[in-house]
Amino acid sequence: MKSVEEIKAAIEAAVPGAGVEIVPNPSPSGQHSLRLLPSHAVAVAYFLRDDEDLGLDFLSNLTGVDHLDKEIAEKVKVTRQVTKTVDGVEQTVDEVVEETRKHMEPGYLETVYHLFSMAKKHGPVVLRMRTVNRTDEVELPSVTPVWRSAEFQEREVFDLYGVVFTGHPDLRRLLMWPEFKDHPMRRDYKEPDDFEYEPTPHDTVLARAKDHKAAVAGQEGTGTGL
Amino acid sequence: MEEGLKIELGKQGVFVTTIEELYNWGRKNSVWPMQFGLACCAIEMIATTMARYDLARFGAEVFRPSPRQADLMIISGTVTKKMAPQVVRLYNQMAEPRYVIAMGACAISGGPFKQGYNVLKGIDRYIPVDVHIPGCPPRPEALLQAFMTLQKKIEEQPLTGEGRPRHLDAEAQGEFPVPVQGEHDLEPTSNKLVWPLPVVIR
Amino acid sequence: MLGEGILKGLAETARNAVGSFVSKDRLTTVEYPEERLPLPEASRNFPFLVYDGTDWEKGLRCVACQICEKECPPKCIYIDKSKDKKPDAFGRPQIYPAKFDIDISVCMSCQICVEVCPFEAIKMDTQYELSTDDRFGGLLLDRKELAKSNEYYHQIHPTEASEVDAKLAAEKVKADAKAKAAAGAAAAKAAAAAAAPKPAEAAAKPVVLADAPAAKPQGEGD
Repeated sequence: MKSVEEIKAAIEAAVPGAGVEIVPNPSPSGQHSLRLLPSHAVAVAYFLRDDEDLGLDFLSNLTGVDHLDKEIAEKVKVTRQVTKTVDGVEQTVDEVVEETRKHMEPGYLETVYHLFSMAKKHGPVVLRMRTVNRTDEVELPSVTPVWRSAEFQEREVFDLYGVVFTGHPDLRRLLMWPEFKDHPMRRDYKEPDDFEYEPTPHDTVLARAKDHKAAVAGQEGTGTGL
Repeated sequence: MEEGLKIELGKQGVFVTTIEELYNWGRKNSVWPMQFGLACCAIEMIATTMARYDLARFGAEVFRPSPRQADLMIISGTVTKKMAPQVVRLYNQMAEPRYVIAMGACAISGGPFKQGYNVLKGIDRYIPVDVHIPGCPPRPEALLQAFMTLQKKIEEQPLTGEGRPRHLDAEAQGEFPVPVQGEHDLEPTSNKLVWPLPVVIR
Repeated sequence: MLGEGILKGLAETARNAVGSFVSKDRLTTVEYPEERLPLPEASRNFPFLVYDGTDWEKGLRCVACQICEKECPPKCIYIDKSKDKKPDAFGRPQIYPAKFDIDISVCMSCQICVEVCPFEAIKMDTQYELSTDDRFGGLLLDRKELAKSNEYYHQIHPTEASEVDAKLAAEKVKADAKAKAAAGAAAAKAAAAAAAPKPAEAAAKPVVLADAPAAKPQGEGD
């Protein structure tokens, strides 16, 4: 099978303007992935499936990753006007000062695709696609028209992460019930409070059980006595 | 009448009993389970009904598909929050006298998947459970022993007075409230009347 | 022939059905509870704590290191360390678990606690007849219910128990040899320390004698 760079070159030759970049994988497996732009993703998918050499006709896995908003603090050297006393006289002087600048890098939701070829018996080729942010712009194109196995897996990613797949024939929740509001696999998901009986609590469960006890005690204290 | 005298008389061909014993003997020896399996423990339950560990020897002759015709619901497998209202509905549709066996770690307390986002931490939050079988999964012999425990429990139920079975008790709760699938969790998280929480240990 | 597979299957079923009335080995039913299928030696259900000797509190091998508590995947073990120490099998004072609870309504019999225990203190039991109607009390096993003797361990897992005994005996031998060597080294050191001041005193004396005649003429000269 071709290496990641060759696949990237082939995609860029076949689908102009595709904008593929390689996401390196530093682990020992060395499975580098190709990051696609949502605008050309379906065209790239069709190419990967129908190409003579690649023939990736089997989407074995479609999963999601949640990246939270990150606060990045960097130290920058800036020239600033500083009032100092020089030889007893107050002056404003230009001085080079080190400052920490913080800014929020918005998080995003990412979908990862693992493609194999049944006809040619090679693979996997790993693709990635990222949404713009985690809150309101969470649409990605659906690859269900290309690979049918994406149908349920995209429903699962929609259910658990909140990624809306445009072009999906039937996008509704798969594992949770339709009235459920949260997305459980996101990193900021807080489990509901059903920690009434925990005889062997540890770590996070211990913390939640204590919170539950405190909440119940508070309720009983302020509730109407019977 | 003591056991010794009964056995002596039995040897002579005289069979002595009370109505209570006869009634409960009839009930305990023909407990028909419902076809209800959720996950891996269901495979062990099926194995128990097969030739090697025959559950039919104990009176569980047929597994009825309809809850109206079944006496026992063996909750075998993880109860997810999505399935929980359906389990309670099926339990409500069973006619008294009805019993529940919670088979396996998942049915008792959520088991190894206790911290899952969709796992109900034990079905005894919503319906009264008669026998719990620990194990992951419990052996077929463990299910048979649990069945025998249930039979012993039925045998010891008096027909009048305090511990009488629910079908002889006019004030007993017949229909258990079905939990509603709310926005973040099942509402309510447990049925306080059914789940008698002990004094909190830790 | 069409339907050959079905006919073969039906023939097998008929052979089993009719044969179960005639021959013993076609009847596969094991009539529990009168008959029980002999379990293989390595079968496992729930953990138990091993104690050596006859007193379960004194002979408990567990030293409350809490490794099994941390490694348990569903976190069903709860250990409280004791405040005082008691002598262990090697005679050294060790802390012991004041509380050791296993919640068997959550335990999934994965045996990881057994694999990681460095003291061979927790092993897998083969008891499966633990069904109960007591949800809260009957399914939380405490230290007393979990402690079972080494003889019991030999009964249920003979090969494993002999290996563990051999390993512990070898460790004890090594520990004894080490203690002996340490004691010998300490004794040798004490003896060397006792012998050392004597040559120092002998070296100090000639100095004093050399000083005295020098001091004398000064005194006399005064």
